Amino acid sequence: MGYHGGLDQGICKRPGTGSMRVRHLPDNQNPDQVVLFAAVRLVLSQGIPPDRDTDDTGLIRQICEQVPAAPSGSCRAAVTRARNLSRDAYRVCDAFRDGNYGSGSGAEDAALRALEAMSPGFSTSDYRQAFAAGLLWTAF
Amino acid sequence: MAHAPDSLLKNPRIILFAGIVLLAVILAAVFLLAGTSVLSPAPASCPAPVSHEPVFVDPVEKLQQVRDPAYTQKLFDEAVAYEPLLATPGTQVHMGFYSAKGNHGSLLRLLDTVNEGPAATASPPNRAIWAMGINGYYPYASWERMMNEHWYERAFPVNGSVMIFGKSYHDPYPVTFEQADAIWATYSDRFAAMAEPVARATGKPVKIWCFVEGAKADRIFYTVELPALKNLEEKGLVEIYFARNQQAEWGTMEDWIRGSANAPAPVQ
Repeated sequence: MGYHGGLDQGICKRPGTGSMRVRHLPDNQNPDQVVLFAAVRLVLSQGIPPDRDTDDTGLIRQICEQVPAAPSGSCRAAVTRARNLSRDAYRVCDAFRDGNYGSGSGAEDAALRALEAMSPGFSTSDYRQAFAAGLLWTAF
Repeated sequence: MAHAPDSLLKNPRIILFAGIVLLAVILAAVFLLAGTSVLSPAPASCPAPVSHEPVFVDPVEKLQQVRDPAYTQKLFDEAVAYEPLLATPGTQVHMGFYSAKGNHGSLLRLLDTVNEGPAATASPPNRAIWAMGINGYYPYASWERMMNEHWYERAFPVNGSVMIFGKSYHDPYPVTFEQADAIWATYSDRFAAMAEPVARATGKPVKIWCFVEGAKADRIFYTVELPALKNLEEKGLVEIYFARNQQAEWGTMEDWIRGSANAPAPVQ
């Protein structure tokens, strides 16, 4: 049996500690932003990010179905960026739990800034969602 | 028509038809008595979609709920509802735990090996579960509920509002980070305790498989789950195994260290 990373990505298989789903897509935004929004939510819903590269065909197809106007290349790029965000969120939240961003209310802001520096170009909402997901993944 | 019964019995078409009907009845009875799990070791299709609207629960109330030992029985009932073999005498049940980066995928691989490989249809059958549910497909209802309660999003509100997937919500019950951690830790404790009703129902100690290479001392595994498992180990209800590394194979005993006394030291 191969490494499970490949199996992680099934559309209906929801491994890991996340089962967050896409609820709505934002209106009045350019297609790239809408695609990225959808990718972040789907990738975070996959749970703990796999360490190895995985087959994201199913995810890309889902995103293209949600945003029919988006070219498949755009969907693919969005998934790659969202995957990187989820991996960075894991690292940041692990460090957050270790106290590397200090303590108190400032720690959260510092961690979010670090996440933004590692994975630029997402919305504030995306960073916060990734941060929440990362805190759950690293709790265990 | 006095000779009709003899004629019916001598008619091969009628006998054939009666045989088919009898066979169908027997097959239906087998399906009903055995359940589908015997014939299909792993769910093959997606679960039905369920509502995922955020639910705002009072964290104090939630902590009381998950601290109640009855919560373990609730989880057990949910697991058995998905997989009746978990409460069937003779089934060898396996429970998986993980902590730290890279171990989650290894655990899922083990679950698949047990639930989708030859062990699933062996006699007696094997089944593996973890804190989220049965396999990677079917989360316990209680897990889904926890996810919909969005404890970590709620622990970091923005100007009094909680942001969940880009939508702003008013949270009537402010949550602290410590409460969010405590709720998830207690859930995990209750899951570990589930080994007891499983072992009592199956009549076999539950085998516990832990992928914890590089796990930190202050995370849920070492602070909550392992102490709970040690307690069950002392009662003879579980056998605990630790993977020597993330590539450990379920069927290769050299890849495992047995017993909580030999647990790898956590990363400080």
